[in-house]
Parts: sequence; structure tokens; C-alpha cells
Amino acid sequence: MNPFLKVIQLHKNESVLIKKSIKNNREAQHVLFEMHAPKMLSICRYYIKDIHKAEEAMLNGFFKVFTNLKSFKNEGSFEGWIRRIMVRESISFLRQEKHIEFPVEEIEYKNDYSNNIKTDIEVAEIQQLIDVLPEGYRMVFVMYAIEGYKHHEIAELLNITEGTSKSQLFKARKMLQEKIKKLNKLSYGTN
Amino acid sequence: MAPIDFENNIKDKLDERMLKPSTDAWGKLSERLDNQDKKNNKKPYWWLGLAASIVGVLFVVSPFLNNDTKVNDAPKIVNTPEVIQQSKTNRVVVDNDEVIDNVEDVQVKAKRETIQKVEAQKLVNTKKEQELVASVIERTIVSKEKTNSVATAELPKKHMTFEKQKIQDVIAQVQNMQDKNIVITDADIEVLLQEAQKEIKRNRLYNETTGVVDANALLQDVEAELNQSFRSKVFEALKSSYNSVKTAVAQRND
Repeated sequence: MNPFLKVIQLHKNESVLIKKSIKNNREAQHVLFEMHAPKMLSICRYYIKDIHKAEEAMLNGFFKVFTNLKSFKNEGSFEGWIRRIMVRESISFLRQEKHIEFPVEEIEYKNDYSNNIKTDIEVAEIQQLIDVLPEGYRMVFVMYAIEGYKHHEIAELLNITEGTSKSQLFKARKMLQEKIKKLNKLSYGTN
Repeated sequence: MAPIDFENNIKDKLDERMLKPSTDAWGKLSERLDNQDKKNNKKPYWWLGLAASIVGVLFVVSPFLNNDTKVNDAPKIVNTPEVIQQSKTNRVVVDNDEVIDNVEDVQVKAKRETIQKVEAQKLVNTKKEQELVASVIERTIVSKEKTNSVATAELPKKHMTFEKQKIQDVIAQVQNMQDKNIVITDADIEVLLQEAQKEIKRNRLYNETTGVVDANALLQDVEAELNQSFRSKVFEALKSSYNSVKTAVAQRND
């Protein structure tokens, strides 16, 4: 089958499943869950270190998805809509667990990023690097660098100023760079 | 601060990542959704319960509310009939003359009848006399009732019982007098009837239980009296003029 037609077919199927899910059809909801859960658990895992807690946040997110499915207007993609819910749910999950700090320090922004960073690291290693970041840094970094949010959106979601968002991203990048450098040294040293 | 290549690289890699949820993940979510459905289904019953309780409270409170409204509406009720009453009283004033005329005629006739019949049957059967007296009293009362029909329309039963009682009293008095072999004259009957009429009238005007004088009945009575005095004046004038004419004619003949 033509890949374009396959996408159309999938979209049609998804629309039907959404309509059925709105009517509390548990089977349809189950199918939608199976379709999107692996991706959404991965997103929750960006923010939450513990996989079980990430899954808990994901389930909270899916509960909101199915109970508020009527408010989904087919303006954007369904996955994008669920994804935004998952990000918000992960943030509120972390906030419920403990108070998140966003340390503000006077920073001199310098573009001293090196592109000579080893890029062929595994996903697991990337996740480990992100996990090491303080929560404030991690959240802003993931939202900006991976999820594609703008600073004003991040500021609104995390209830911080745009300046804080920028400084958090700068520090997160700097910290990651140092970590990767160390990782490179280790790997080159071993090699 | 554009995303650097490294960030793009890790973004692509992380985007491709899929993490399989635990086997009981869907079970947990499904259970939560079921509970939510039950809650949603319970909502209408809760509202129904609330609505039913409100209706119940209204039902219980409604008698008190109705009482209040009656009290509040009282002035309104009084106002509207006033207009009607005015027109009625006008009519009554107009009609009263006729009615009073009729009443007086009836009374006069009745009195005449009784006098004639009493004269004729003075020593005859006492039962017949009693019946006659009773019928006369009843007729006079009924005729009086007609004149005061507007004022006393709401209280006929009470007056009837009082009036009947009076009738019984008069009959008893007459019977008592006859038992004692006292000769009953027209004047005696007249006195008894007048006394009874006075008492009935007083009873009508003044309510002993409430201590209130019926203003309407009083007005009716005064109107009737005024008419009577006017009538008597006319009668007197006619009588005097007739006498003067009579004496003049008699003197001329002399």
C-alpha cells in the first residue's frame, strides 16, 4: 500500500477511535492507549527519573485525555494534543512531589558550545545525562531543546520569568557540555 | 540560543524512543475510568435527590406561605369589593324603597291579618294562634331579611338560628300566657313582636363575641328609619291637609 494512503487510513482509524472513545467505548480507548502509551511514557520519562513514577504521571495524563476528549478539536494532531497534556502532567507531578527550585545567578552568556561533542551516544546515555541535571535545569532544557517550547511558553507553564527560563537553559547546556566532555574523555581514554 | 547540533541529535534519538508501559497499566487506567463513569452516572440521581428535597421543603412550607399571602392580600381583597359594594349599596338604596315598601305592606297586612284573625278567633284554638303568630313573625323576618340581604348575605345561618330562637320564645310566651288563662290582646302580641324585632335587630348590629358593630347593618337600619320618617311625614302632611279640607267642607255645609 502507498505510504501516503496508509497515513490517511491511520488518521481515519484514529478519528473513528476518538469518536468511539468520547462515547466511553472502553475498547476504542484501549486501542488509543496502546497506540500512544509507549511514546508518552518516554516523554514523561524525560522529566521524571523514576520509570514507575513516570508511568503514574502518564496514566494521570491518559485519564485526563479520555475524560476531556470532547474538548479535542481536530485542529492539530491528536498525538501533539496528548503530548502537551503529558508535559503538563509531568510538571505537576514533580511539583506535587517537592518544591522545584530555579536558582537564579548572574550569568555571562557566551556561545562557547563546541560541536565537537560526541553525538553517537546511546539514548540511554542521553537520558542518564539529562537525569543528572537539577530538576529546574532539566525541565527547561527538555521543554526547550526536545519539546520545542518557546521561552515565554516555558515561563508560563513553570510560572517563572522568561529570563529565568533562559538562564536555566544556559546552565543546563553548560552542565551537559561538561558531562559530555567527561564522557568523551573517558571513552577516548579507554579507546 | 539556537539549539545546537548536539541538541538536534539527542532530540531525534529521544523522539524515536518508545517505552513499553507495565502490563497492568491499562487495567489501572480502565478501573479509574470505570469509577469516573459511575460518578457521572450518579450525578443525575444526586440532582434528582436535591430537586426532590427542594420540592418537599416547598410542599411543607407552602401552607405557611399561603397564610402569609392571605394576610398580605387582605387589603387587596377589601379594596376590590369596596367598589362593587358601592354600586351594590346604590342599588340597594334604590331598591330599598321598594323593598321597604313591600316589607311595610307585608308587615301591615300581616299585622292586620293577625289582628283580624285574633279578634275573630280570640277564644278559639290556641294552636292555630301559635301557628299564625309564628308565620307572621317568620314572614316579617323574611321580609326584613330581604331588605338587609346585601349586608347580611354572609351571615344568614347565624341570624336564622337566633331568629328562630326568638320565634320559639314568643310562641312560648304566648302559650305561657294562655296556660295562665290570661286574655291575650292585640297590644300584647304587638309588644311581644316589637321586643323580638328589637332584639333581632340588636343582634344583627352588634356581634357579642367580637364586640364589633356591623357598620353596614347600622347604615341599612338608619336608611330604613330615615325613609320611614319621611314616609310618615308625607303621611302626616297628607292627613293634615285631608283633615283641613274635610273641616272646610264640613264648615261650608254648616
